[in-house]
Amino acid sequence: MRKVITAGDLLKSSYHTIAPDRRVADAIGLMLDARADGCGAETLLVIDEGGAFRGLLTTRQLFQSLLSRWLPEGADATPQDLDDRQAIEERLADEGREYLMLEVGQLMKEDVEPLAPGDRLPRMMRSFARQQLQSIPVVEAGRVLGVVLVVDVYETVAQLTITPEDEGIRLDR
Amino acid sequence: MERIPAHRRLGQYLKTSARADLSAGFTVAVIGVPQAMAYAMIADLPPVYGLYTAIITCAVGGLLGSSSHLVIGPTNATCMIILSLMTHLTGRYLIEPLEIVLLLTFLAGCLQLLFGLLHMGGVIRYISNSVVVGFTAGVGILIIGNQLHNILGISLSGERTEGFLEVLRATFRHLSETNPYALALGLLTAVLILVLPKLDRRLPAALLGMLVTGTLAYLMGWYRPEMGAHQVEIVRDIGPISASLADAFRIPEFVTDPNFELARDLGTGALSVAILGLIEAASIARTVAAASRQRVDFNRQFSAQGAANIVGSFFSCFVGSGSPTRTAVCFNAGGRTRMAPVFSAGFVALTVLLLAPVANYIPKASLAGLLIVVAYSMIEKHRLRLAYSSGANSRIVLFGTLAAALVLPLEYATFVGVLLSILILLRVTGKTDLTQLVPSADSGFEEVPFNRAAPSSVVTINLEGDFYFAAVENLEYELLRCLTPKTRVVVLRMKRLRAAGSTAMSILEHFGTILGEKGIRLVISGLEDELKAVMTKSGLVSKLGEQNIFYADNKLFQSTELAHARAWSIVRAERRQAGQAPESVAAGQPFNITAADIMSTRAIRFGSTHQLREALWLVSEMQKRLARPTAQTLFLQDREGKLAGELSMWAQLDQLSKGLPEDPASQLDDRRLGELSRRHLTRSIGTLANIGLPRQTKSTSLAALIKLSVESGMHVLPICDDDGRLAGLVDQMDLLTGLCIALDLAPGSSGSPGGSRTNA
Repeated sequence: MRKVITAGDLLKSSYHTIAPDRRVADAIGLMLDARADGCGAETLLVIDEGGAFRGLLTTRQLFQSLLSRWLPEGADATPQDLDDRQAIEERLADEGREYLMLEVGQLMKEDVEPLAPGDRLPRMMRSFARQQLQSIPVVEAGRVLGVVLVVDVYETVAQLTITPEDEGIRLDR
Repeated sequence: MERIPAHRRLGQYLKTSARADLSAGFTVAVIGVPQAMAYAMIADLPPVYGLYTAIITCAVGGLLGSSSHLVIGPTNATCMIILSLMTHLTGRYLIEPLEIVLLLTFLAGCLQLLFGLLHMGGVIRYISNSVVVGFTAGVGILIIGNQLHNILGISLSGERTEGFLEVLRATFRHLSETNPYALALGLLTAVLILVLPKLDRRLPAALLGMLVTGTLAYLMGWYRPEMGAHQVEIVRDIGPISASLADAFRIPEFVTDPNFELARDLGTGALSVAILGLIEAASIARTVAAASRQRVDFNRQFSAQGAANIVGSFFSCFVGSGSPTRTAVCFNAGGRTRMAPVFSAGFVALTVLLLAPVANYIPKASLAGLLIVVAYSMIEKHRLRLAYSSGANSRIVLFGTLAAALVLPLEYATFVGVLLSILILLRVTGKTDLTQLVPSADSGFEEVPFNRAAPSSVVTINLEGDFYFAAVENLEYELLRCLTPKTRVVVLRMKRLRAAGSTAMSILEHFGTILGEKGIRLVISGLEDELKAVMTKSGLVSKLGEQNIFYADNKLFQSTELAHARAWSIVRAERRQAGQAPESVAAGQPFNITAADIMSTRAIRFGSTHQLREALWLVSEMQKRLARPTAQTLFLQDREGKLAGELSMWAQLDQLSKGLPEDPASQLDDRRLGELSRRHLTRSIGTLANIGLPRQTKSTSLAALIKLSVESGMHVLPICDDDGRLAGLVDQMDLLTGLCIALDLAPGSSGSPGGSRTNA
């Protein structure tokens, strides 16, 4: 029997969403609160009032935005500068509030390549490898159906690829 | 319910439940008549008063009560207490014993009514089951001892019989006077009561026992005075029952000629009887309600019982209480509403009117036989064993109450039982355990014994147990013990604390004040809704500052983590103000957060010479075990154990996807895709891994870690020790937690976060 797994099969219908006009502080709070609930806290789906998918907000975007405020001169600053604790501490105190009041829409990742429900494993694998995301939304006609997690794709690939005699680790090397 | 007119409700009742209630009432009366007469004998009162109690008290209690099945009336335990009280009092007052009993009944009724009106029904919950079992068993033994002389037909009228042991001693002293006819009748009754139900469960064994032995004694003429020493005493000899209820109503002497000294003397007894009656009724009502699924309003039940006793005291009734046997019979016979006990009262009244001449010929020994059988069944071997085996505490209560019942005047045994219950309750629940929490290397906290944590600026105390008045005594001083000169902030975790009283609140407030005097701040975490309400009402929330209070989260330690973050931000702010130099990182303080503060140690380490096949298997196994939705990264070690590189899930997927057709029209099924991917499995992971990683150590600052993460694109950053070996890792959420602390952000307390979890 032919067996074909698609994005629709791996779809998870539990995920976290946030509106684009919400603040960074809300996003951080949501992520920390979501840490233990098993639906992936690092990736928030940005959905507008109309229910349309706008982009993703991951920890990466939060950190990138923060970094651009810390290092206004760009890449000039070296990590050694960042080890100057007193300076960072002060900068955080000065700019922290402002940063927290940024809107999610300002720093979300908009160029996300979502998956389609019919996408098969090769496409999913490449999409994850390219975008390096924990989860990718499955979108159909502008509506989010759910998300596919990288761990599920990996798990499926491992199952398909590894035969029983492959299991385990050879220690003789 | 209220809007339905009375006549409609009556019609409804007649249609649905009246027949069932009538039949149940009849069954209860059949069981009840012999019991009522016999129980009166326990109290050394003429049997007719037992019948009155089974009529008036039962009817009033049934009409007003809450339980649909509880039958109130004469019970053996209350009668035993009456006897115990009477032996002390009758000699002291020149008042008819019945008048003393009526006053006792009135007083007990008033107390019960008061309990009910004051809504003290809930208190009964705290009386342990062991008290009831122990007390009942004690009463059973007492009844057997007290009825031996009756079944033997021995008269103890000339003896001083103040206590249980004295009665027994007197009985043995007169053993030679045993009346063989009385003994025969008593034993026959007992045998009939035991054997008849085995033939047919529906047979009214007690009633038949009375009738058979009564008829026998009547036909043989054993009741006649001509029998001399072998005359068998019958009910008529104790106090004749007349075929009229008019005798029942009498204005008691306590109304016409109140004796306040007697009332004072009876106070203790009345309280004891009242409490016992309530415990009994509550435990019965609870058992039956458990079976019938009825929700019993104990306050109303108590008020009803009080009212029944007050009314009863004007109708020659002694104290009534819930009867376990008759209640069970009422329930099992299909009684549906409170009218079943009322009907039973009616049937008892009919019995008195129609069968009084017959009842008068029931031999005393037969009643004693019935009592001994009943009393023996009160010693519930099974429940005694159960209570015995359920721990030292129940054992103490059980045997304490049993011993008190046998040794002390019975009225005190109830107090002993209640007292023991309360003491044990306090012993079990009245404990507040203290432990300290220290942030662990892995995420979360570790619990260490109180006062064992290393000195730190932030001390986290975990309170556990019940916060009652008894438990909080000295708590504040206990809490102060864990402070060191270094302490700046105390975090109290109250998550596992149950029910706080106002005492506890005042102690917390006092604790906060003492800390304040020492310049130490108080932060509270894990505050449950119940405690929150108490604290808000007491004004403590505003006094401590809303921002210093973190509410319970269902995730373990979540609110404590945030409270901790808050505590450290207080410490930092204080330092900044004081212009103090930051503490050294080596001390493990997250001042200016470093990798050491946020990293975890659960890394997957693997030799760099393995094949992709092994890596794929290992990571997927680990992933299954962790059951986390976040990708785990494999860290490669060289032969010396030094960090050689990292292999992320994305890199593996990238390799495995090479050469796979992406054409949607591809005819390859998944099995074939897997075979294609297998070509890559023999690749050495050393060639796929991301090598030449930057070296972060435990002292790398949060800022540097964030910059590194952004620039390298690595989801998980390895943290190395001085020798270059992997010591731990920092993932994206760890970085976010660190950022949260650095920004002094408390997400859990911010109310609703700006997003939601969707379950499409």
